[in-house]
Amino acid sequence: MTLSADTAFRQDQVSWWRCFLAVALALLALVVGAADISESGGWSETINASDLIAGAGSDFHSPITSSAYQAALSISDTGGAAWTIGVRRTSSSLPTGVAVAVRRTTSGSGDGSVSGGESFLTVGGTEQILCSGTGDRSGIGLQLRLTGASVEHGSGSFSATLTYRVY
Amino acid sequence: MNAQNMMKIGVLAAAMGMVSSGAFAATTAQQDVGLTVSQIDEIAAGGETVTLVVDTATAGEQPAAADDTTDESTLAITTNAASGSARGLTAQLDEAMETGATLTITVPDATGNGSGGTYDFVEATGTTAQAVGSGFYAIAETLTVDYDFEATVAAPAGDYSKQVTYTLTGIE
Repeated sequence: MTLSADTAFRQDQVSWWRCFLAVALALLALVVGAADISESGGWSETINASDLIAGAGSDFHSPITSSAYQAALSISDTGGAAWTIGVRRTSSSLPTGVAVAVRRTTSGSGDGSVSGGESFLTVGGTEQILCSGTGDRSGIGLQLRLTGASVEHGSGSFSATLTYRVY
Repeated sequence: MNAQNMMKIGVLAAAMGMVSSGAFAATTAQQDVGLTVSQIDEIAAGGETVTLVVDTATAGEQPAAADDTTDESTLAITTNAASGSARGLTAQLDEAMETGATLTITVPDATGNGSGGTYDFVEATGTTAQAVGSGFYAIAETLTVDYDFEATVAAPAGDYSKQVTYTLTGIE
């Protein structure tokens, strides 16, 4: 009776360790396989009367575009593996009709490579692929663009948050 | 649950926590995009000179009024004022009209938000600004302003020249 109970206890322990190891290995795989992404440089634009297309009687010119290298993304800890960058708008107080878009303007530097994303991509609430590549890259240049700003939207401060994800 | 199991669960929970919090890697990065729109109230009158000539009359009647049907002028307005703080529009002469002379300025309604108006400038008006429109907000339009000129026989013959200044009002 005592021997049987002890065996059951050991079997329970072995099952527990197996389960633990499986989960731990899965987590380890996730950690090892996860590249790191970082972003530097936001964009804040002020528009006033000098941004009217033709002075009084006209509306704001559109699009409003940032400098070609307004912000940069860096991808690290890739172990040389392939990666993809997705982007979506996670919050926004921009007036209805104002859209924000982003495109890749430089490939940055590093051992890997980058492709795609050279045309403006209008960023919405659903994640879209911006670009992809391999290996570690730093200083991938980004340019941002706003379209649709109008005097109909009134004055004030508006903002949006773009979230980039590497996978 | 014994101490060993509790320890395993603790280790597992810690590992999961590290992954979820990005302790090993940040798979997302955020970027802020800001847009500040300044208050805008721009107005510009067409640079052209409107010429109105009163030179005909029927015997026994006052001279016929002159209408600028071929020399209308434009008034361009851009404002991003909110509806609650809509702008008014005034017109003001640089000097009073002569005795017996009347200059009528008519500003049409805007296609968007804003109502035009009419005012008869006479000698008594002097150089006081007069309302010729109201309720302008969130628009970018060019309006065609109509000018009419009347001169009774009391008005001295001659050439009169007036400069009209338009102003958006209600700007804080």
